[in-house]
Amino acid sequence: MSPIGVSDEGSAPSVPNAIVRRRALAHRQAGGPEAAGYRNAGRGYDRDMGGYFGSYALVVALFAIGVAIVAGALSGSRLLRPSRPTAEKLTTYECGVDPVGEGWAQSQVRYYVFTYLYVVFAVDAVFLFPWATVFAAPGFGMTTLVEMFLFLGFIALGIVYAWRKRVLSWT
Amino acid sequence: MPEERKGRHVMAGVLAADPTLADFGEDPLWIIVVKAVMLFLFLALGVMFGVWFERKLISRMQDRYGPNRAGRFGLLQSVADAVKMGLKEDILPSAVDRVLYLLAPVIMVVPAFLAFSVVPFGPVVELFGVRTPLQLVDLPVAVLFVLAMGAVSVYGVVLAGWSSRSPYALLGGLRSAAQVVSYEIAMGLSFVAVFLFAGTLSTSEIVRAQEQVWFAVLLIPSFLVYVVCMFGEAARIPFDLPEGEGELVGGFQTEYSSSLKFALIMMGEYLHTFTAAGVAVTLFLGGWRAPFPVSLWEGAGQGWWPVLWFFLKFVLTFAFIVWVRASLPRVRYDQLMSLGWKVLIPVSLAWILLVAAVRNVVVNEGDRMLGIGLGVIIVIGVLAVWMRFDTVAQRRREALGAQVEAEPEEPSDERAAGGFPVPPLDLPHYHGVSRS
Repeated sequence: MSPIGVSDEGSAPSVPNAIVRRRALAHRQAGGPEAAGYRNAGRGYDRDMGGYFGSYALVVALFAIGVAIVAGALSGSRLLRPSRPTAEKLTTYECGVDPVGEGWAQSQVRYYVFTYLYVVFAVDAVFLFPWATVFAAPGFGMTTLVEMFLFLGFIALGIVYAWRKRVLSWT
Repeated sequence: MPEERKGRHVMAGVLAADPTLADFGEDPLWIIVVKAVMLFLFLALGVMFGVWFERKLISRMQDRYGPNRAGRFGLLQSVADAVKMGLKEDILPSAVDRVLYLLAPVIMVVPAFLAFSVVPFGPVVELFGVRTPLQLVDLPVAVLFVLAMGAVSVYGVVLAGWSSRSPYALLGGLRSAAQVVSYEIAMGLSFVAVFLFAGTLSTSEIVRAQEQVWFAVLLIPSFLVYVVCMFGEAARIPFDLPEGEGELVGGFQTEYSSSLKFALIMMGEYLHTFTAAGVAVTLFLGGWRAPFPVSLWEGAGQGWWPVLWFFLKFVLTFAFIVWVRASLPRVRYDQLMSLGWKVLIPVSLAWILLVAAVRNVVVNEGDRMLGIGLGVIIVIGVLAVWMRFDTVAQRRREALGAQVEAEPEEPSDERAAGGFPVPPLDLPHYHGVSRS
């Protein structure tokens, strides 16, 4: 897609030249206004990128900044704080009494059952979101509504089943 | 298409200064940096003074003074705490899984920071001579992003509990996973009605869609479900079971002695509360729009005024969360789960069906009869289900009442230590009966 591909034919030996040329031609024919915008100014191209993926890039940049701040704080405090570990300090605290046995107790399977149910219903919610956004748009009428009713009916059947099987009551 | 976007931008700028999704991604880099720094400052200072505000407010509600030593009105209390936590010896218990133990607080804090970046603080404003929407980033899936960040930070809680190798921590982590995950479903479902009306997941456009009426008024059941889920998702009282200190010592954070890691965990939890409040304001309480009597004034939506309205609503929502903390006791875990799965989720599903049916009547007028018929069927069906379960609940309540009535005669059979009542020492599950 990138017109830069034309200029560095030599550096991409894995792609046959004919294909590269055909791609470049297709780009020139198809992307009329886009190509014009690209020729006009570099800024236009940047803004195209900024419009959609730019937001996500910003999120990634924020993520990096967040990690950097937290890591900076942690390593800064490591330099400043004292460290005089003793055997007593390093035992597991639990509730203040010396721990007995392994720290990882076996726990009830019911937590796991709930996370399983979550996966089902989270998928349900994710299907609902795009439906809700296009619901009022023209061309999505009664059919859309009935389809979603059927889908929610199946989902409701799932929760009723779990309910009847007494998975939902915490014993 | 750039031309089209530009057209919409200009229109939005001239008409109401209401930003849309298309207004984002056009800022010069330095403005983005300025806005990011402002957001980080807001959150960092917000946590510091949020802690102070909460402690001060709750102590007034409990008829005491609260922090009043460090600085005027105790304003510097959180600063002092932060300095202390940063300089305190950090104990790394020898049993823990070192990598995950260190990573867990980071996994809790960073997504909490990110989730707040999609909350709009105001409309398009003039910032150092550049017209820009007062919101760091907006995505076509912004609300989904907030939900996702909430789910990611559960990993932090679970890993903190697991890597500590302490039974209480592990139990707290598991509780948190099951709880947050359950309430996230109901929360997602409560958003669907908002999306049905706004037609988008982008936060700026959801605020734009609330120009006539706030969604909290239009969609009261959704708002109520969200308010309940907000407490569950942020693990605040009455749903703070992951760290219920009466039962689990400190829950998932038991093994984090009060060092910087503990401060990070606390910060992450606070930021989640902030995000919950910010989302409540954005999705249901009109975002930066002025409240009713003020909104009659033309200038209320102009310039920097909206920031004030947003901030007021935000602080009031946060104060409401604190008020609830001062008023309600912690619920039991089985009550928490049955509220989530047996009340909130079915109610949300039925409400979505009803909203969709009504909205269908409004949008597609041709199918009016069918739409009304569907709505009636839903209402009748929901009422029937509710009556059915209400009788079950009624019977159960009566049985419980009878049991409570009969109870005073029993203590004579109980074990007693020198006349003092002691908890039962012989229950089936102590013998592994329920494990099978």
